Amino acid sequence: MPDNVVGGIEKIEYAAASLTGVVTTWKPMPNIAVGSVLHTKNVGTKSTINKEDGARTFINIFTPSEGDTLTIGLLSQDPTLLSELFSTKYTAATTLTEFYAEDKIANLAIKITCNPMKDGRKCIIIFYNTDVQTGYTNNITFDQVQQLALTAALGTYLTTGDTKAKVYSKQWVLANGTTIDSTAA
Amino acid sequence: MRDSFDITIDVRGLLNVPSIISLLGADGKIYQTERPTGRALFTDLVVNSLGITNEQVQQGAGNVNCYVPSITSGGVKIADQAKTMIIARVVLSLLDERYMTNYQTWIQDENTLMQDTDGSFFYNIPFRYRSMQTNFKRV
Repeated sequence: MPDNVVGGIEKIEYAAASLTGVVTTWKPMPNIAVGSVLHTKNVGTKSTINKEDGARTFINIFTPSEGDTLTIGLLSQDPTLLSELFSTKYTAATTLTEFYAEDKIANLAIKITCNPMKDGRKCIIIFYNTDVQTGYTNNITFDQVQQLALTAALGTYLTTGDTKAKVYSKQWVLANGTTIDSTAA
Repeated sequence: MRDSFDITIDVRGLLNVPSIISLLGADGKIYQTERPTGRALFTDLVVNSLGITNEQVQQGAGNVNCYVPSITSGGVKIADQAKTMIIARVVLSLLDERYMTNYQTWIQDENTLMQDTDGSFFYNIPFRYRSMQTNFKRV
């Protein structure tokens, strides 16, 4: 039986965020730093109140956690992408990018296409609504390049006809992108 | 992705310039990987590769060996250090801290005078090579 695993990154793409889970055109995020991509799923805290006379739970109180996050490191500082991530003034004629003092939170949709690690199936993960804040990491040295450090706070979206908010989707497809029909025969 | 052949091709390209060619003389050659036999009387350069990694930033290494015909002193064949030094210093200047479009080279390890199995003397110049891959997908 085919296995659905998630591993390796073939490519990451981005677009303007969609609150309805619909994106038609994606742009590439070039040169992903090895080992930099991490999806953190935060879990809420459960507290229990017991009755005085025993260990029996009287009530459970669930405290939601901070929202989920996604971190991505990029080695390439493409001016078009920089203008999405930072508040900049870009002059294409001279490739001059000037960074404004104000901070910017980029509202992006992010699509991660994984590698087919097992059984020729690769996973496509899509975050339709994220708030991305960007910093730098890595010293600027002879041996390494400065890295863009993206931290995306994952927001929700609502698809047409559904009443519950969603955060992300995972879909497995064949290595060539063909959709898999997993309907039982 | 770049391979060992790219290293020898690229470095040979850096060395195949008038400042080197004029020092090699009419019969001198710049060889990739190995020097043919029977060249003891010629001034040659040989560029070889020690391999390259397959990572986002590819790191490679190689050698340039500067062969100069030996001279006879007191009935003994010895290295022509004066000519070797002239050629080696031009090679060093051409390979150290070169930032090309698709790759970089620099001199890192010690370079030294050595003797080949056929008795030829050569000056060994180890160099490093680096290239950043685009569309690297093993992330």
